[in-house]
Amino acid sequence: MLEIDFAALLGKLDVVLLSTIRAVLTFAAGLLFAWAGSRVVRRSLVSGPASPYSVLVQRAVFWGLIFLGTTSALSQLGFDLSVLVGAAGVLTVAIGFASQTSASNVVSGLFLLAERPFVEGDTIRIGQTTGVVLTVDLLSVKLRTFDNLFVRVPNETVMKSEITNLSRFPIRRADLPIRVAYGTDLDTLRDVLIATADADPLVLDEPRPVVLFQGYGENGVEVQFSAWAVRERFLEMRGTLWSVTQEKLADAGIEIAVPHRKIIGPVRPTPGVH
Amino acid sequence: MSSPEPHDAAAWWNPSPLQANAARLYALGPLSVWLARRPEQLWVASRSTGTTADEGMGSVSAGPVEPPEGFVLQRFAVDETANPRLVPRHADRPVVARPEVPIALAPGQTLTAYSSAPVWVSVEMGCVLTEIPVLRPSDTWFGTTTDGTLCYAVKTHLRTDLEGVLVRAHRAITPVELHNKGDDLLRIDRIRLPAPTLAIYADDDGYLWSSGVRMTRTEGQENARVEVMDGPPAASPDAWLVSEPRLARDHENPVVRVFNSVFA
Repeated sequence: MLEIDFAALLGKLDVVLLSTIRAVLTFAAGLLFAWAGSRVVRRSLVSGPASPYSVLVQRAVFWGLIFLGTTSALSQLGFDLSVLVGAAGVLTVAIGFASQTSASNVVSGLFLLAERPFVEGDTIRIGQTTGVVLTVDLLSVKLRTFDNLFVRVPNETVMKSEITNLSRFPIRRADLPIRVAYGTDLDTLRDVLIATADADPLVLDEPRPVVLFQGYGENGVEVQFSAWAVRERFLEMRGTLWSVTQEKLADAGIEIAVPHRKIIGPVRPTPGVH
Repeated sequence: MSSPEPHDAAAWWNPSPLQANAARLYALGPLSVWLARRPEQLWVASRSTGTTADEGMGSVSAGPVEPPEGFVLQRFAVDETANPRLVPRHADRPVVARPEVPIALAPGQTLTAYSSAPVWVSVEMGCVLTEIPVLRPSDTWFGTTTDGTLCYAVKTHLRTDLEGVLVRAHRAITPVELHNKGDDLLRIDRIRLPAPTLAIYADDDGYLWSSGVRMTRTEGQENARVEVMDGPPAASPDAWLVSEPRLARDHENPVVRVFNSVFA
């Protein structure tokens, strides 16, 4: 005759029920912490330098806490999760190999965040590309070029490249190389160029415009004419100053040197020789 | 803003009603301004020769019905109950005054000098409609190439006596007190005047004055304590207020860089 130990059965049922209730409560607590924690993290990041990543971090925190809550609940139910550790190790290696480039971009992005060679709104040049920084994201930097093209530059490329930030400092200098004919009075040239710069309201009085002697070129004397302007009006100044400079040089009778060749040969052609 | 008392009817900053469909021409040194009332509109035209030619006291006369040739025209829809007027104002940025001949102050010495700068002409009719510089100074940078302030540049004689100062209808004279409390010579190649924090006063002689400025070098080479004096300058105590400063003074940070000098 089958005898059932109801007391023991009830005892075990109690344990299972208790464990189930504990597991459900643990999972529910995990859900609650995940929801609350992710919102707190997002709020704290929204206005800081890491604001572009706030949504990403929020999701990472949310799912991370869900995972913790789930594993805790499963362990409450008596599941042995150690087998997952081994599988996770293998999975990590596989993911690591597959995502080397992305991981490198992510790490580069973090370094860019810390170093801040540029921020959103800056005008930068990376390689041959010049544009305004739209966003600095986890994997890449997005630029808008001046002809309104969208350029995505991976963070790894940014980290390995020379970056020129054209809008970091408040003033910029424009350099115009000028080649004048040999025989030109350099003092007169300097006076004309400086007077031209002084007459332009966009050229800053200080730092003073300068005329630098660069050397004796193949076709003429080479000088560099440099003038400063505020960053916001730099292009405007460069456009107007260079065109006015040409007029003033012409007015002063200063010849811009052009390539020329002197051919030395016989005065009279020899008959029969071409 | 306080209403000025009409001491000199010819002074261009004194308010004077402009009848409907009438026009007025102001000659203010290099700048000429033409105002005309139209139905529900005010027309403003201006032209600047861009030179530093002195024109003395300036003149105000009835103007042609149409804008003079070569003038840049602006039109404004306005409240017809108000009267148009021109108000002199200081520059909207600090002004770097460069003495034509630099001067050096020995340790412990004090110097009071006068620097004049062209004013901005504010056309007002119930509100500020437009501002036109009498002579737009060139831009200049005060500071290092990586950090500094955008200013205007003016050349000044930085005279120490008023006898040598020319009366100009379009320039405001700023009395500057310089104190060198350092231990070495303070050579002054240029000084930065806080123009937006200066008020403008006018006197019976037709001078335009600005608030006095006291600069005290206490330590280092280029930092100084800057104080803007309240009220009309001591050189013209009866002058009356014509225009308020553009900006409130920064009482919290009176020590700023105002000198750009070199050790002798």
